[in-house]
Amino acid sequence: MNGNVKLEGVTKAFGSLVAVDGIDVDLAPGVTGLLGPNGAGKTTLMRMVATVIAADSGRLDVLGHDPSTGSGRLEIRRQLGYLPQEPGFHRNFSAFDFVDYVAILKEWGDRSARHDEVRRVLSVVGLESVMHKRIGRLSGGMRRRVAIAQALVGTPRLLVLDEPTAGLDPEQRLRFRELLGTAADGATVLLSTHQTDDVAALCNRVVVLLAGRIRFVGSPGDLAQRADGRVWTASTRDARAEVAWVTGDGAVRHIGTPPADAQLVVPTVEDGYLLLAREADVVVVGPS
Amino acid sequence: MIFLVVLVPIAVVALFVARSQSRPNVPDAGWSSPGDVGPTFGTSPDARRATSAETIRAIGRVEGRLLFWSSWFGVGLGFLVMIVVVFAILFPDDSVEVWAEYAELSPWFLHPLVGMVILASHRAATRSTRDGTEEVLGVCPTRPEIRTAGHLAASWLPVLVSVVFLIGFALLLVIRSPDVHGAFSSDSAADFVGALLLCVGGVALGVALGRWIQFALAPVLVIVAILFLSNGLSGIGGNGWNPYVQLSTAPTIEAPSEFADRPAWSHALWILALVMLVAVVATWRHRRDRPILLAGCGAVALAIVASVGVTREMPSASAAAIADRVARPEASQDCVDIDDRVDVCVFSVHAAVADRIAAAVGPVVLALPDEVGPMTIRQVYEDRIEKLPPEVRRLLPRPIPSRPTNEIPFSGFSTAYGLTGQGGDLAFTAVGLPTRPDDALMPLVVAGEARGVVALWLSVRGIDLADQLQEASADPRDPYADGSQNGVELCSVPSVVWSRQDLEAARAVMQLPEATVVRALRADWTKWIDPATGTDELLAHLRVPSVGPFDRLTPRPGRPC
Repeated sequence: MNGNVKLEGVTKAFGSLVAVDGIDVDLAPGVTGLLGPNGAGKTTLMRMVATVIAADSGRLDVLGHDPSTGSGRLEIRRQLGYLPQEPGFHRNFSAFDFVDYVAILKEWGDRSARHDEVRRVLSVVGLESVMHKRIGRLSGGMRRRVAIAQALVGTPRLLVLDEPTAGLDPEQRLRFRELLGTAADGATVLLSTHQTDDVAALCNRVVVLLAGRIRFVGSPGDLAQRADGRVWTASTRDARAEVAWVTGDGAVRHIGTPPADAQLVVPTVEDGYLLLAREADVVVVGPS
Repeated sequence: MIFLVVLVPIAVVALFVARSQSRPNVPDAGWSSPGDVGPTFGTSPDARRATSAETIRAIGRVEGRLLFWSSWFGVGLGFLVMIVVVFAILFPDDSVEVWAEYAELSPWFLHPLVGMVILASHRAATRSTRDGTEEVLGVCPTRPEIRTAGHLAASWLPVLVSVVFLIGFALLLVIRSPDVHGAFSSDSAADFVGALLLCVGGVALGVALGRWIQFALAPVLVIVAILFLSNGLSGIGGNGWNPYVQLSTAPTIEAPSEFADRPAWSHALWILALVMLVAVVATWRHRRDRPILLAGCGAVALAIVASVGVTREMPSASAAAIADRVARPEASQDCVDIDDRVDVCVFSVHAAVADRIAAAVGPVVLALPDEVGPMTIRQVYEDRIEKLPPEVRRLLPRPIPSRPTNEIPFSGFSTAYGLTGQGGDLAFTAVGLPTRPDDALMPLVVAGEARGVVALWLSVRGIDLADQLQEASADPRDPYADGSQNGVELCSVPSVVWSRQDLEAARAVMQLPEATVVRALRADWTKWIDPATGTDELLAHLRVPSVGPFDRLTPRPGRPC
């Protein structure tokens, strides 16, 4: 079975707003980060891949199945773990009950095995000590981990995670990165985030979406490399820079066309992304 | 008291919910790992993929458990507790007389629970939308119609609770109300099946509404609409025969079982058809294919057949038997003899209780002079003929032969002693006083008449003196009852009205040795039951101080029941 997620000319509009505009991309197994500003179409793209909504046009192939057919959706969903941007919770459920409910809907029929699996995924996200507490009494970070846990039920071959690190504290983000790093071989992970350092640390592939179109596909290193020779620091703001901001040590970091005497620095993924966002008409598609 | 009984369960549930909502938050469970071991993705244990049936059962188990802990279901349980407390503990003698009637009433008892189940099931079916989890649950491989079926499968809980309730209620009645008699029949089985199907229907209706209308008040509006519909069905035909009442989810009891042949199994089928129809409507939201369409058509066909079944005429043999019981009750009754003077005759289904009636009436019979009798206390059809189905009315002789004058009719069962029992009717009849107000609903005033005191004294034979005195005390809440009695009223009017002085005289006579009074009555019975003989005359004969002069009472007519 094909482990890829392939989109060809996929378009999705909500009324007059075209959220995703003729996207072509092929996602191989591994962790793919989806970067883009708010409203770029990341969530719409992820919801299409996760079979929540259907594309208006174009062709999707998810794990070798067509999500536009009932049987295709069923097969995709059997191998899918999905964390929406705002997952919602039943406040009166315990963490265990909620994940157990999801496990039932994921066709775990044997109660003993199902409960073992629920305990396992809750343990993976470090919630074994509070699994029988009501979700309404858990902190925002713990609720997010419950949502992550439900996505992990059944060791899915396709994980679609929409801003999974939102609401997690720095240590929890660290653990999450570690966790994804151990994803099973052959699994395809698609995650969206505003945290470029998450992308740098987690992803072996990054897709940048701007205004519903793909502007970059490549490795995080490739994205950072795009800004090579175009990032510099200075003690004052330089009007020639396309983007400039004051860093924690008081220096001003610039992205753009550097002056001749500029003090160039090694670019990061964030630099590459910001530069790309300023060059919206440029399309760069690297190796996927 | 009843107000408290209603409020307490609701208050307990409210406190429980408030307490559960106000628990403190859980301290944050850090997601830390030892330095050498981090969290790992791991792999799931091998597990066979569940079939649809297994998934439905699993959802049903979970939803049933959630239903049990829902606030609305808690209120429903509170209503059940209230019903048990009122009808099985506080007033067990006023609830049911025969076990078949208990089965007939079972849908009524369960209706409050079913109403709450509708509300709770609607909330369960709309939970994912309300809490924003639909996006997570919706992309699971379980199809929406399977989820709907899982919600429907949660009906095991209200069914189980209802079975426990009905058994517990019945056991309490056995303990608290030994007068309940008779046996369950196949119709009773149909009644219980219908009642339990209502529980399934409550879940189905809540789920169907949740699948189509998310609006939180939708189930409330539907419940109110059903109440209006049921009332409308019950009101068809005014006070006469109404075959359409059987289309209600809880038909009113039109007549005692010996005067009715209810289409109990057809009614159960009718309820089953309604439940199927609602379940199909719930499923149709997400699955519209031939099997569901066929199921819907099957439910409609069953509903048509069942509706014809519940409204059709009863079999001619049943109609003939009922007509015979109405016109000639003596032909199908068992009798118990008391002192060779009085017979207690009941339809055979009530044979077990005839001895108890005889025991209650016995002391009254023994206190009567030998010249009184023979008399018969007979169970008869006392309701209006128009309430019988036309197929029975057609078979009745016209006019219906009047009953012998030495017969004391009764319809409802009561083995209570005193004025409220058959002993009271016997005493009144023996003395020549009416046991019912006349056709104009006018009571008979016996102020200052000795026979009124004699009737009161006779009525309370066989009970403790304190209870006797209580029986001869006026109801202080009703000025008109100054000279009346608790328990002898029919609708809003008694059959006999005494003056306060007569009641005082009766209490004085009750405190005399019974043998003294019996001797006096037997010595000149004709005189003491003569309306011309005054109360003071009787008191003087018994050497009791006079109580006159007597209040002059103007009788007040009652109103129809």
